[in-house]
This record gives sequence, C-alpha cells and structure tokens, in this order.
Amino acid sequence: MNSPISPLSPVDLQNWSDHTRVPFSVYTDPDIYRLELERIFYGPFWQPVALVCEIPEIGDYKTFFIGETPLIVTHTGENEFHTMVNACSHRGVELTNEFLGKANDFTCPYHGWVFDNKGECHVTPGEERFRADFKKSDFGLTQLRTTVWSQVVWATFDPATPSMEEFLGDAAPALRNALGGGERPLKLLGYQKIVFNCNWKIYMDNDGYHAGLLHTAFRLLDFQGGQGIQISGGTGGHWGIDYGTKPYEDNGYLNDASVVETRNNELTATVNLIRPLCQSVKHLNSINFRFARPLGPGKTEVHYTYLGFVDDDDDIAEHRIRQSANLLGPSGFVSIEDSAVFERVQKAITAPHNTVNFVKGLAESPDGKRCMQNDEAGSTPWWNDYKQRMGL
Amino acid sequence: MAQIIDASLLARIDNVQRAYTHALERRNMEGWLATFNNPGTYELTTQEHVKHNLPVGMMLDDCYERLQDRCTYVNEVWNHAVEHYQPRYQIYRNFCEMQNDGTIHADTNFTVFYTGPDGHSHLLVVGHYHDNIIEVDGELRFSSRKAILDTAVPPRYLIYPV
Repeated sequence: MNSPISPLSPVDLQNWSDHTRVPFSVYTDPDIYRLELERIFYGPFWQPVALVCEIPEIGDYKTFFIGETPLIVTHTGENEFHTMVNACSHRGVELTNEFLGKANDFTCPYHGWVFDNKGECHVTPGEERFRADFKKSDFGLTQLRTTVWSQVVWATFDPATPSMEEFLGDAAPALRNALGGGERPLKLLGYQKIVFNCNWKIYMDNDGYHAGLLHTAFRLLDFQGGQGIQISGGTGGHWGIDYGTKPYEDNGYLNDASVVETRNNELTATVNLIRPLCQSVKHLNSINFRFARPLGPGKTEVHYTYLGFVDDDDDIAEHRIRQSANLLGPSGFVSIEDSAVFERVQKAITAPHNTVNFVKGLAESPDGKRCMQNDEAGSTPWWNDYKQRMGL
Repeated sequence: MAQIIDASLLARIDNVQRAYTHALERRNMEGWLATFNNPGTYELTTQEHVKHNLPVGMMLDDCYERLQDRCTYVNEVWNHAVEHYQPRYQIYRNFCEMQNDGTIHADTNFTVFYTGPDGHSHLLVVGHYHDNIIEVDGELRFSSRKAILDTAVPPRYLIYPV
C-alpha cells in the first residue's frame, strides 16, 4: 500500500509512530481526508444506509450517502433491497432528491433516461442516433453490494468486504441488543438531524464511552446509568457496551421525570460504535440509530434516527416518543455536552506537534479489546487499524 | 373561525410574539416560560417530520412541567458545558384567526440568525410557528406553540428553544 506521506505532509504525520497518540493533523489534513474516502469509506467496510422500517414497503426508497457519494436505497422485494449510486449513468445527473419516497422507477430530469428501482436502464430517448454498439444493459446504475442484518440495510463499494458476521465480530451482540434483538419489528419514530462542526473521527472518538464522566444530568440526578465492558472486535475495531441500567429513583430535580423513567422493565442498555461512522444507542426506553456522513475534514452530518417497535402498546409507544425527543439527541437533556465537546475539540486541534492521547485503561488492556465503560483503551484497536490501513 | 382584522388585537398578538423572541434573545428562560399558559405545550419539529407524519422531532415539551424543565436544562444543567450563542429573530405574521371557542390560531414565519463566541454570524434555522393563543387574566399566552423548521439539518446544535 502506497504511503500518503510526502515531504509536504505535516511533520506530525511523517513522525507518527504510536497509534494511541494521534497527531492533530490526522483530524484536519485535507489530503488525509481524501485518502480516507478511498481507503475507508469506499474500502472494505459495510456501512448502514437505511433501516428496513424507513422503507418498509416494496417500492419505498431512501436517499443517503456513503462518504461523499449520493445513494438511492430501494426496497424491491421480500427482504430484497438495492443500493445504487444516485447519478444517471448517462451524464451523471442526480436522479432524485427526496429523502424518503416511493417509486417503481426513476426518470432523469435531463435527457429522460429511465431506470427501474433495481437500477436497470429501460428508456433512452433518441437511442436511434447513439453509437452503434450502445446497449441499455450496459448502462444500469452503479450498484453497491447490499445486505440486511438486524433490520439494518448495509452497503459497501468493495467486493473484498467480509461477511457481516466477520465484519462485526465480537461487536455484533451489543448492536443486535440495541435494536431489540434483531427480530422484533422496529418502527420509525423520527429524526434529529444535525451538523457537528468537527471531523468525523472526533465524533467517533468522543461519544459513547464517557457517560458517567461528562454528563452533568447524570450527576444531578444521582444516576450513573450502570456499568459495562467495552468489547471491541471486527473490521477496524468496532466496539459495543452492553451495560444495563438501574431504574431512576426520582430525587425531585425534574418536574417531569418521565424523561429518565424506564418502563416495561427494559433495563437493557447498549452503546455501539460501528466503524467507520455509525453509532447506535439503546438507553432507558429510547432507541436511536445514528447514520452519519463526513462533510469534508471539518464537518460531520449525523441523523439520529429514533425507533420503537411495531408491537408497542399505546403507553410505551407514547413514552418512547416523549423520551426520545428530549433525552439523547444533539440537544438532549443528558447528551448536549457531547455536541459541545465535539466542536470544542475541533477548534483546538490546529496546533502542530500535538497529539490526541488515549491512555485510560491501557494498563489493564494493552490491546484495548476488553476494557471498562469509561476507558479510552476501547478506541485503540480502531486507531491501530486506521494507521495501518492508511499507510501512516 | 374568522380572520382577525382588529388592529388592537393584532398588536396584542404581535406583543406576545415579540415577548417570546425578546426573551430568547436575552437567554431569559423565565421570560420565555411566561409567554406560555399553564397548561401549555411547545414542540420543535421539521417540515420533513410533518410530511412523513413522524412524531419525534427536535424538542417536545408537551406539558407545563417540561416547559419548566427546559428552563432548568438551559440555566443549570447545560450552562457550564455548552458554547452559548446569540440568537436574533426576524418574525413575520402570516395570519391570525379567531376560533369559535374564542382562542386565536396564528401562523408566523421566523428566521433565526446566530452569532457564536468567535463573533461570526450565520443563519441558524428558518420556519414557521403554528400557535394557539388564549387570553388569561387579560394577557395573551400560548396554549400551544409548534415551531416547524424548513431547515432539516441545522448547522450547529441547538441549545435554546426556537
């Protein structure tokens, strides 16, 4: 693998030796970002592009991105989904700009080429004057490998990406638990979409592991939320914590304590980071799956996607809605500090010869594969993989 | 249901709208709360949610206790950790109607700009309010306020209600 290091690269990159001490420039350098698109986002990673409950009926579709590439994700048959590049195979025009929609085919607004929802090209107006060897079958939309795992539609550009089981490795159980075990049908409740003014790796480095450290709300409520083990595994060092929560005992701080109330004895709680850029959290009765995409080296767009279950009774359905809206989102009662930390780190990492340091937990877990909930060691398998994958 | 044309009533409706934005521009959460009736509700959502009939939007204070708690979030829980910004509002009345039960239904456009700690100013969100307003003890107050954003993806995290 060719090294991206050139004599013009920041000196921090040229001298980077320890994957637990990450040079600031890794988070800010535009050349690094371009290489990440190639080797990571368009490399051997499965990336979530939709939840089945976002496009539950045959004919439904969603638009999203992997890296900077716009995609259409379509529901085309019983448990059959397709992911295609959202660009006409003729002149590259975006075919649809609807976030969620229903269509059996897509017509290019430029020259009228028509594609079915599996990406096959069916109509090419003016074909009689095309080059002699033109065949519609050569001009389908660019397809990504697509699979469904635990009610999530995943896609990858890379034919070498391993199976989902191998890709997720030991991180699979916690993610499956976050989504209700994988079999109970999920229901879409809504979104909180936001741009964080930070590099996508800052967003991933600084969420999930610090619940008892950062969040004032937990302390005010005398509510630490539980303890668990970070388990890292799979391609690129995903991790999950399956920690369980203790029910909150009302200390009178809030006028409406339902925002932190656990109903139906749903004590399962998990936090998951799926590489390169996905998180999923189940806490109390709130379930959210976070799709995300980089917007260059300094911004990250995140779609907090809130979920319930199709078979929820009216009481728990209403409770999930009320709790989800105010608890764990970018403006959540508990979680708003995450948003603040992401952006404050980004602002400060422009200095040369400085590093972001992962230290806590490495004494007991040098490889970071099993560590405590608030440890930093759990991020180091990722950084070890990243450094090698990027040739740095 | 009739369109309100009485200038003095329209001026009173404009006043409660201004009291609301004036409070938010000064991070005066008690002033914000004072524009709501008890019981009263506030919801911040997006046009995308309305289109797809999705109930979980950006903020949901569907009882007066949650309105009170939102003041606590901003004033106490989050105050030390977040990067506060200065919001500025431009609002424009679309229509006001008197309902048969004596309540007022109003629709008002808003544009919110913000200035961060670095002194740079940007557009935060654009949308419209869908309000029900009632008169209590001679004062107009929101019995329900739904802020519907055209902006599906705000450019930074929101600390304050819109």
